[in-house]
Amino acid sequence: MDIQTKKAGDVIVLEISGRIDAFTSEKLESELHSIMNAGKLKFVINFEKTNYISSSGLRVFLGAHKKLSENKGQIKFSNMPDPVLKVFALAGFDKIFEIHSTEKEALEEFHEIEEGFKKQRYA
Amino acid sequence: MKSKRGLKNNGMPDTIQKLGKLFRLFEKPGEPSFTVNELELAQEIQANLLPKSFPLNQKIEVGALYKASKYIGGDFYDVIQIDDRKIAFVIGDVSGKSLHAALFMAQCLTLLKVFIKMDLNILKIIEKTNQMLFELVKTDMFATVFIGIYDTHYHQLSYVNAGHNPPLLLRTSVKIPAKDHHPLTMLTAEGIALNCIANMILEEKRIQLYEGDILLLYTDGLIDASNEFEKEFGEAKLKGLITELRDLPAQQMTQKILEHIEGYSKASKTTNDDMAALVIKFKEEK
Repeated sequence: MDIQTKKAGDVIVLEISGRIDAFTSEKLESELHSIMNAGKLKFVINFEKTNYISSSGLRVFLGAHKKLSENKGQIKFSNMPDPVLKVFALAGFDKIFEIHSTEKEALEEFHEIEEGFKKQRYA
Repeated sequence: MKSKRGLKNNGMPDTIQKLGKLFRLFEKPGEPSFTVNELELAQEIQANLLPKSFPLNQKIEVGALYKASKYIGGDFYDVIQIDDRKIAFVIGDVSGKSLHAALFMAQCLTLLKVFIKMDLNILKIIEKTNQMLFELVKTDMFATVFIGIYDTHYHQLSYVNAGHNPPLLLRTSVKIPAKDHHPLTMLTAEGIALNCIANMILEEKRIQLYEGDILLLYTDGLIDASNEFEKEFGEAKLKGLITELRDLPAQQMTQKILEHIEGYSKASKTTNDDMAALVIKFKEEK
């Protein structure tokens, strides 16, 4: 498993390639934790190059989701290949997380939320 | 590392004392690091919770398989008699490894058993278990669970599926109404794994059973086992396998399933996950 991290405004995008299983999920968990500990609250996970995810991977995202929700943060997913989407959907995680077809769409969604807040603030 | 105080020979049960000789077992980067004693303790907790015998064997025949992974996950199963007429089948998989997973699994299974024994509605069993876990367990762990309650009088199976692999129902009798004659059915139902959200999203379903029906409840370790080319065993092969093995007694079926999957994955480079399964054969009334 390899993780590429980039910034898109105040959103952190993680591109994960390879397998997210019991053995690689620890690396993913520590990467996510260190970014969250630096105060980042918005994440997009791009799964385009992910070929497998096990329940250990789901657990990492559930943990991040619970932590981020407490601090009004959010994690969104994009570019899920069918086998990955199947694992998410089977555990019912598609009902907890926002899953977008593209990274751009997920980022725009964050942007729209931000714009919505601004409009409310200045209304 | 936990404090060594209180871990000496102080009259605590053997299981607890085992924590006293902690040392690191796996130091390879990227692999989960556990102590020998964590693994032993987790194995012991798991083994003690799984049933050794099954009830109502004049109406059902049950075969079980459990194969722990090198790192211990939290697969569990149970067959629980509710009263003279009703019996519950449970299978589940806790995310996470080692001691934490084993303890979380113990909490899940104990709560489920209590609510099942209270003869609550099947949706309530899951909802109440989830509520309790959500209040008790502030972790990222979750459990997928399937519960089926079989009414031996009406031969009906009510079931809920909280994010678990859908069990397979194989029909072997030809003497059943045409509307029910699907040779192989997957018991799917809307649901979400336990300890994810406070209010469960769940659907209860019912299906009529007939003598000769075979139900396979299993965890993802069976279909995720991969061969040397990293190709998973998969659902399709499992369906083919139970169809092929259908005439064997339930316990032999589970044994053959395990042998087959172990054979398939023996050259795999990745470590297999836990594997658990229950085969239930519905008998003819005598």
